[in-house]
Amino acid sequence: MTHSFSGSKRFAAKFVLCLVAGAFAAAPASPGNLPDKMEKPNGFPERPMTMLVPYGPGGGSGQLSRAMAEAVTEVTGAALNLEYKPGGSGTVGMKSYMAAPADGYSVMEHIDDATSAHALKAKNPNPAEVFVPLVTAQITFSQIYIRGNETRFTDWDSYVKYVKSKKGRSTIANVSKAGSMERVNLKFITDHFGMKMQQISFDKGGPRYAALKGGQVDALFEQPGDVRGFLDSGDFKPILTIYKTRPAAFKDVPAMNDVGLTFEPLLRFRGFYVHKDAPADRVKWLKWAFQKAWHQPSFQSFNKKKFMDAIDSFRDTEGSVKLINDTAAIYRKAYKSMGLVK
Amino acid sequence: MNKVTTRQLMETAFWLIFAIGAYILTFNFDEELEIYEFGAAGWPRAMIFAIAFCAIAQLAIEWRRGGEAGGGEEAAAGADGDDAPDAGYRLRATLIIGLPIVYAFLLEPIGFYTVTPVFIAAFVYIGGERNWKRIAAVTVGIYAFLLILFAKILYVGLPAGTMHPFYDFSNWLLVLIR
Amino acid sequence: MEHFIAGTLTLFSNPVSILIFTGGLLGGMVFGAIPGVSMLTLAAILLPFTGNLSATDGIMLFSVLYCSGVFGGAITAILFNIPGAPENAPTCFDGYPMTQKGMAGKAVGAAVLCSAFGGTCSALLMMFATAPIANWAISAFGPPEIFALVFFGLAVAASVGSGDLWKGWLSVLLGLMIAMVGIDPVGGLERFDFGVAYLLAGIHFIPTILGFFAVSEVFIQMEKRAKGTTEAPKVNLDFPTFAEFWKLKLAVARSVVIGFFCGILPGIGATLAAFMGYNEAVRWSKDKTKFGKGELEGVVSSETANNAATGAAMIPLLALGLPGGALTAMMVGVFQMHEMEPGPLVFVNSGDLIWVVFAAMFFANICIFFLGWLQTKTVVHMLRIPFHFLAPAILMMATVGAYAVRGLVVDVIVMFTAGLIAFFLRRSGYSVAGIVLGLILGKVGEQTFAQAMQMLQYDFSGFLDRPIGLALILGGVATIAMGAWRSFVPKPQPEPVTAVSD
Repeated sequence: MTHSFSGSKRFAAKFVLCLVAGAFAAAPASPGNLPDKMEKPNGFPERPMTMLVPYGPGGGSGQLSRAMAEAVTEVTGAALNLEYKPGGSGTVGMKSYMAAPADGYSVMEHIDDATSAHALKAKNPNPAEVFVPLVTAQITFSQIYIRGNETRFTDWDSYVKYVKSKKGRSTIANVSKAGSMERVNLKFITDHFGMKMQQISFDKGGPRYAALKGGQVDALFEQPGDVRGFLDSGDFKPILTIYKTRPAAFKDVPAMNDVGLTFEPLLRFRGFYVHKDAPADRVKWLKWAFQKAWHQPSFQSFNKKKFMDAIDSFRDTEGSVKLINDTAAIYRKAYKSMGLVK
Repeated sequence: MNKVTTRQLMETAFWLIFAIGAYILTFNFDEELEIYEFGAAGWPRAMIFAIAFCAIAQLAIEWRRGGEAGGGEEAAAGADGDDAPDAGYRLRATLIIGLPIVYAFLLEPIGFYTVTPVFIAAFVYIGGERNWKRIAAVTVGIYAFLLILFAKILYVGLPAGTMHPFYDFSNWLLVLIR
Repeated sequence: MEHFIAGTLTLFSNPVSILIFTGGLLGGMVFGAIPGVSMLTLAAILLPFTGNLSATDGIMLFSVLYCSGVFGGAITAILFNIPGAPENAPTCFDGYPMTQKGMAGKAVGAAVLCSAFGGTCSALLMMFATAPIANWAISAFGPPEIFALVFFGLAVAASVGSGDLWKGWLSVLLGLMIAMVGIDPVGGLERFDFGVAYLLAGIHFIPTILGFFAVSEVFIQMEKRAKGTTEAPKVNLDFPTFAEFWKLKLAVARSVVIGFFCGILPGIGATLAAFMGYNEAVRWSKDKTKFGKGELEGVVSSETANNAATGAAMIPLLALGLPGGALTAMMVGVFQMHEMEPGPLVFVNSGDLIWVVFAAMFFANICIFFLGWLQTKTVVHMLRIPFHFLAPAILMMATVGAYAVRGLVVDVIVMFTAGLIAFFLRRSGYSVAGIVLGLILGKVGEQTFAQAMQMLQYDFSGFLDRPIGLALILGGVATIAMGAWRSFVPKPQPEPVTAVSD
């Protein structure tokens, strides 16, 4: 089946640039803005807190949450127990979190999926409205990867040529969820270059990477932190960075400006949230604790290993609200042009 | 002799109703997928047709065999349920399978720590134990074992309940034993 | 060889490592053997703590837990008809009838020996073959081949593993239907969720299997008590003799090969291995009617196969970073907690770690052989506890076990509902084990089918270019055709070949 995407370029150029340029260029808050210590509000927390992770322990969210929980404990001495509730692209964990008492003792990790889900269906809550973002801790771009020993094509230009010559038979491994960040980005790219290719949907990372490594597919859409092992070993190599300019960590890989792509790239972001109705003094303390923890050297070295220092990865509460709202606006426009929403 | 048992007819009817119901539900997600021709409903519908086929094939073969083979074993298995159970048995059997379901639904609002000891005592009672000292001992024993193993040693986060005062009781208990 | 010795020395020169090795070994054996929880419960609980261990100790703990847990799960399967893990489900078919006949000691003894033997063979193969096999498997087994294997496995399980072909297929198909609840694997659409948000997480196989086997068994035993028709199983500690084992050497060898092969494939793992090991034993047997009634060969073939899969499952995990099942997926989490990625680089950067793990798995299997006998002598006495005291304990452990995997109360509700369904289904000739297999393989089957269709441009003749996939598809079709032919041709009906109902 085919969709008309003629509107997508126009929308990218006109609307989005002015809409969100500010959000992605926001200056990071320096640790200097945060006090070194903050008094516990009426003794809160007097028992271990719970951090709910709506994904499995092995994935990007699980790893981030453990690193953040450790850093928060370093800063405050307060203990955090992690609970993983995977399923339904994070909707199940969020539903469970919303049912828990809003006393500030439980916080939640979530990713941009919550934002795109809200943009897709209004019945899904807007995370910037029902929760208070404590901190956005990771923001990253996606890339397109090929095998390190691939000979049919070796860079972006030869890849585009190859894909066109295969007339829709070239394959790329991608995530399965329609309307996801991955699928929308790829749609913009194929649309721009007039490429037709067969996307193969994988809902789990392992088999997705195996498909590229084992020669089952020609290319892979992914974020660099998730395939770092394959990048370091030379098994995979990036041929396109889906970000306006080249980050220093990938200075030899062409970015969007280099190949003439003008749409606003959709980014993967992960952050931490607390109930909107939690007591205000506790929320204030949690904001301080999580933002302070982000600046801890232990957390910074974790983020560096995940390529999360390639672009500015930090947003405070206001920055996160803006990031979420602006991103939701991009998705809504994109879904409209794709025919996913009316 | 070509005939089938009522039981066999009911079984086939069940599967066919199941298949029709499931097929109707597939229209809820009968959307086109941009990257997959068969869509989200393709695989479920293929399996639903397979179920209908197997159910009809089973009936056809049963009809050819004359309702003997296969049915005999089931009849024997079902026979021990047919010896006119009394009302007391019925109540107990219903409680044995019903109580755990009630327990499961109470876990989220009331919490594991409150509802579990009540359930253990009730279940031992339904099991036929009438000596209250033994019921108490088994309840306390199992509850203490669960608390020590999962809450104290292994730090498992079990449902604490979402309703007051059960949520507060769970947290009070956890602070106490940790 | 020098790597292996170095690994062994590292493992046993450090008191902390010895303690963790012993803890993993005993933990897996005990959690595996307590009805209602399994090694997966313990693994899910321990995962956050491994951050405090060294990377080597953390990975080693999980690999030892894996070996001993798969063995421990056989004990409850045999004694209580409650498999500790899905891969122990086929062990029930003949193990539990043996207990009812007063041959519990013999069945558990066979499980001890076969688990240790299968696991040791697998550990040895793993040491020599990890790097080459992993690379072969990943390029030879793409989505079309994995789909073909799932198809073949389901065809064999439905046609051979059940007394009535059509009931067997209906059971497997019901499992496949249950697997569709939640998010579809191709487009992320919501299916069969009945408007319940929690069902979007899908029906997980752990609570389902706990319900089908543990909860329904409790219901059945309690109902028997209520009716006054209960009889206590006889406790007996006679172990099998060497002669009895020697007769089964072919079954053991076959199961080692099947187990190892299935274990290598990502997403397939030990469960299909155990089912196929058992079903092949039935298929190759001269007297198929003896299975399901307490046949030692049934226990032996299933337990050898699932333990043979443990070492094999480590191959794609360590060499490629691709987990095959729930426990190996958690091991990825352990690696990542130490900021490492399992995969080709681990061999280069952390060769020492790999060899400590290999050595630990090898010695864990050896220890199972010795400790297993000891455990058998003690655990069998659980049969002496009055069942109405044991019953609530089993239900409560199962509740924690079902909840701990994903932290969702809906899983506990699913478990008790599954128990209720199985309570009625187990009298009807349908196969609860078939439903479980359909549920476990359903998502992989649908997803790899869709991927295969996308890759082959919806052209089934594309399988002609993929000989492994073609052979498996043809094998599956032939199995179905033979079963259908046999069921259509009227002839004196033999007894059902396996206990489909219990």
